[in-house]
Amino acid sequence: MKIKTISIICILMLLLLYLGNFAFAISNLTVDINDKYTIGESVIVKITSSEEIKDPSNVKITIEKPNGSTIESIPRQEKWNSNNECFDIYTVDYIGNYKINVTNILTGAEESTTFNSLMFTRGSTIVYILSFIILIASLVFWKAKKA
Amino acid sequence: MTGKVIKESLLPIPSEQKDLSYSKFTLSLASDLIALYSFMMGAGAIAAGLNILQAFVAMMIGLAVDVVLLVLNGLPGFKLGIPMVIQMRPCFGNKSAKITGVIRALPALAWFGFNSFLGALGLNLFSIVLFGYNNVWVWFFIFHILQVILSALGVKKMLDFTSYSAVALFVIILAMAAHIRAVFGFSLASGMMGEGSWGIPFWLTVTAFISVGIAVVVNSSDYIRYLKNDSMKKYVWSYTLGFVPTMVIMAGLGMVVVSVSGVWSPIDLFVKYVPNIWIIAIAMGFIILGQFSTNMFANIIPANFVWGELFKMPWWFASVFTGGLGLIIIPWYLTTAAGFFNFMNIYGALLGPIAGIMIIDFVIIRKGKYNMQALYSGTQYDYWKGINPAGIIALIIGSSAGLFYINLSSITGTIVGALSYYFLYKYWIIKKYPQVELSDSYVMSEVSGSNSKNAKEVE
Repeated sequence: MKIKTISIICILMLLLLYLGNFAFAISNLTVDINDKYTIGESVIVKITSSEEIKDPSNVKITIEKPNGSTIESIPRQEKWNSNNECFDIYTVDYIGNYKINVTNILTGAEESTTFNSLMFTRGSTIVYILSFIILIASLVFWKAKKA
Repeated sequence: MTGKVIKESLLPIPSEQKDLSYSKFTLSLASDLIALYSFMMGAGAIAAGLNILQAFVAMMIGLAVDVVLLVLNGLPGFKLGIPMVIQMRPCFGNKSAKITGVIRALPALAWFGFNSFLGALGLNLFSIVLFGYNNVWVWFFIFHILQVILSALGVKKMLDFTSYSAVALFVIILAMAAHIRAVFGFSLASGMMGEGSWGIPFWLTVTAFISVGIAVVVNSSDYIRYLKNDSMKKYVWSYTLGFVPTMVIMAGLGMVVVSVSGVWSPIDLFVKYVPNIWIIAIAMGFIILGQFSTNMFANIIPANFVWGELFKMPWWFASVFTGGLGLIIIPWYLTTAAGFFNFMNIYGALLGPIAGIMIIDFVIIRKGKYNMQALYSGTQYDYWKGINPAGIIALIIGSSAGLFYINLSSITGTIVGALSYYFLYKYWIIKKYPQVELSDSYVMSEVSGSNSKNAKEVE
């Protein structure tokens, strides 16, 4: 009898542990963005859940801007997203530190991350240098042709 | 293209060689306005706190002022076939006209880079939605370089491109309007019911609509000089029909959409509410053609003429130079609200007085006459060491007034600059530097290609 009771308790504990893990898995959200963006650039806030996101409108994104104001949005899913992904696009309009909070309204799971917006990052610097090179090269070409 | 092209471009175009039709010019002007910034102008008026009625009235006042200024300042180009850089010589002096030309070119560079970036931003957002590919810098570079290549083909090709693209843009904009109506419905009545304001926000909006046209006002002769000049009535109608209905449609859409949806950026709007690939394709076409044609018409042409006059550059290199500088000014900063409106106000304070001075000089003081020979080769417009003190002092006074009342910069700058110039020129400069064309008996003669200073340089 004792062995039977202990076995039931053990099974119940295992079940509880399994369900607990499952519940933890539901609440698992990850937010994927870069650390730095140039001002004016588009930020893709890519959200991945450990389970399928059937309706992206159950996920809420709050973005805190460097000036203290906040905006809220709801992500969307496209064909290139897997069924546990959704995303939103935000255009950076201030220089400074941004904070992004993502909440799954159904499960209450939350995740937050930050990024920094600057006047120059790698992409804008490359474009800037390329434009200088083209300008100088064409200047040299024109002068040579003129001579 | 060779160096001869840009030099010949500065010579007056004789009436018999003017071959740009009124309809083509009207379409080119319209294509300048079918762009994202026009939508943002309307949306910005609602965001500033006006209701739709107030925003509409402010827009119409601003556009009416723009059309009057465009018609008046385009007269030297229309009647005499001269470009802006030559038109500036009597107002500012042969040497300092180059500086005022650069002042006109600077906002053109900024607008060029800004429009390219805005277009690239739109293309990037659509590539994100469609493919998950995000790199605005690749789009920006490709989009910008394409415009430089197209502009290097010359003014006529650019005007052809903009007039044809205007037709396509009108079709696209109607399709977009239908889609926006289907998504939101046009609840105009509720938008008009808001309290709004007839005070400072209203006049700020009027100023913004004047500022958006003031850059084109300054160099209106650059386009209009190619236009057939057989009918004054058609000339006025070309400006009115090219400018007013297009801006009313574009900015009107912006006003309605922001008042019912709260979304003020057209790109964000398209991305959030595009239901299928066809609407995305239409919106992409709009962005590419709209930004392209606006840059061709309003930004690259004036800047290229200025570099040609200043550095004797061939047209193709002037295009590359304009393109390079358009990137170097860091145009992405202008995508911020603070950057955009500061930029508009500052250039309104500089260009408003220039436009006012040019109009007063040709229409009021010279009564529609120039000494055409002196424009190209004489010393009459040298004044004091190549500087017209009245023009420069009036520009400083007008710009200071504009910067002092920065939110009303283009209005105060234009009025103060124009009045200062009138009094300084009439009661000081004319007495010191007699102007032959002010005599009632003076008859204007045309400058032929062979007897002008520029023509000699070309040969």
